[in-house]
Amino acid sequence: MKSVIIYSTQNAIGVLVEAMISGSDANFETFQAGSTRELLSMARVLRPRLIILLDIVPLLDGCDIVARLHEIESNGRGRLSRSRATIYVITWQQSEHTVLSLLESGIDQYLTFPICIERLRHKVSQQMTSNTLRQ
Amino acid sequence: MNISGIIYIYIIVSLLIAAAYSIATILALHARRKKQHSKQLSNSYLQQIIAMQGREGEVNARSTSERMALAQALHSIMSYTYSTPTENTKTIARNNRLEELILNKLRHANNEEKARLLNILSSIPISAHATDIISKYLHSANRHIRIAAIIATIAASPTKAIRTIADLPFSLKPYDTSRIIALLRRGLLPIAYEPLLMSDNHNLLMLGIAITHNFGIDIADKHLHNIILRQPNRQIVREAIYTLATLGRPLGRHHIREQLAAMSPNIRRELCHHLSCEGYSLSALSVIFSESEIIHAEPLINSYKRSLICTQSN
Repeated sequence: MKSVIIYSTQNAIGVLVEAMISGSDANFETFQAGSTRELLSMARVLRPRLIILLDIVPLLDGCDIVARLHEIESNGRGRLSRSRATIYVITWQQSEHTVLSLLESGIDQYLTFPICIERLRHKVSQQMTSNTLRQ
Repeated sequence: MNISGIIYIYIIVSLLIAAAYSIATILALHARRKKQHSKQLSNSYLQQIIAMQGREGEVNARSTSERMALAQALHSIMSYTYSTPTENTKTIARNNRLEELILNKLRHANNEEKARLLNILSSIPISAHATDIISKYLHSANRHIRIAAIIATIAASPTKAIRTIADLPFSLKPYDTSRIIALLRRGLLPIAYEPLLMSDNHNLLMLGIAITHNFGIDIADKHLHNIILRQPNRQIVREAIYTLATLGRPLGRHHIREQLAAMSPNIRRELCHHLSCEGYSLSALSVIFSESEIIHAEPLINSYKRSLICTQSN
């Protein structure tokens, strides 16, 4: 079954976003990661379709989380797997400089709080049902 | 006193210390367990309320701790989302008497808890009676309580937001206006920026500048220039200059250079650093600052940190 990993250092926000994207017709499972190490080990095991980051620290603290996630997907053999996880970031940061830095680091979508539940749910649902292969 | 007496006293004191330590440990464990239970309850209510979106339903809480967890869950949802249907929120708050619960707790809470409870009140539909009680806290000596009271008052009566902000007995700081902007982002406040930028009231001006800054309102630059030209208050002038910088506007005009010349060296250095990060070129900075001030800007401007941004000022 397809999976979504939600990374958040604050459990309540992770639970909130999980509740937002889940619905009775959700065709995927959601998992919570509370640390970078947990996120990477879950990504290795679950090969998620979508990763939602609710904290920008792993993207800006030098641990280069996006590159490490891509490395997992390439199986360390330099070949990309058939489909790599899409990475969404949802935070309160509004400044242009920060947003551009995040996009430059390799994320696919940047969203800000406050967020519309319906819109997020629709976006995630579309992403999970999309058959487009990411290169 | 003989030795056996000393030994007895020693044993009794040791037992008392051990007993006190045990009681403290048990109380701490109990408090931690209560907190975890409250978190789990709150998470469960979060899921129930969100699952109810767009549909009728009920969420019921019986005990005080359950009602508090429910209030916390509602507050989380309202803080992090917008366009959430409010009918369900009103029904849940009314059926579980959340307003009454929080007002009761407010009376006996310490400062930190009061601020937290007032923040929760900003997310729950409340009555006029509650608004009157909250207005007392606008005059609190504690700043966090005052700000939380403003937010709760404005959220309860959005149409009176401007009057409330204008009549505040203290000046708003940038942190305070950012809290009000968060309400704007939730779609709660029907505020137009232009009248605020033309106002003489300190708080309304600060709010107008904050709105312009946060929402990147380019066409407000003429108002910002008027503020810089006419405002005697240094803090407001400084905010206006920072906002112009965020909008990427040239800062070489005479009245801006005059105001900057009157600022302290620390503030000038800070602004120089900020402009470098915002994407202003060395030539744009050399019009405003002296050579000794921009000497540290050059490495920053040439670094990757601002290579992502291209603005009109380049």
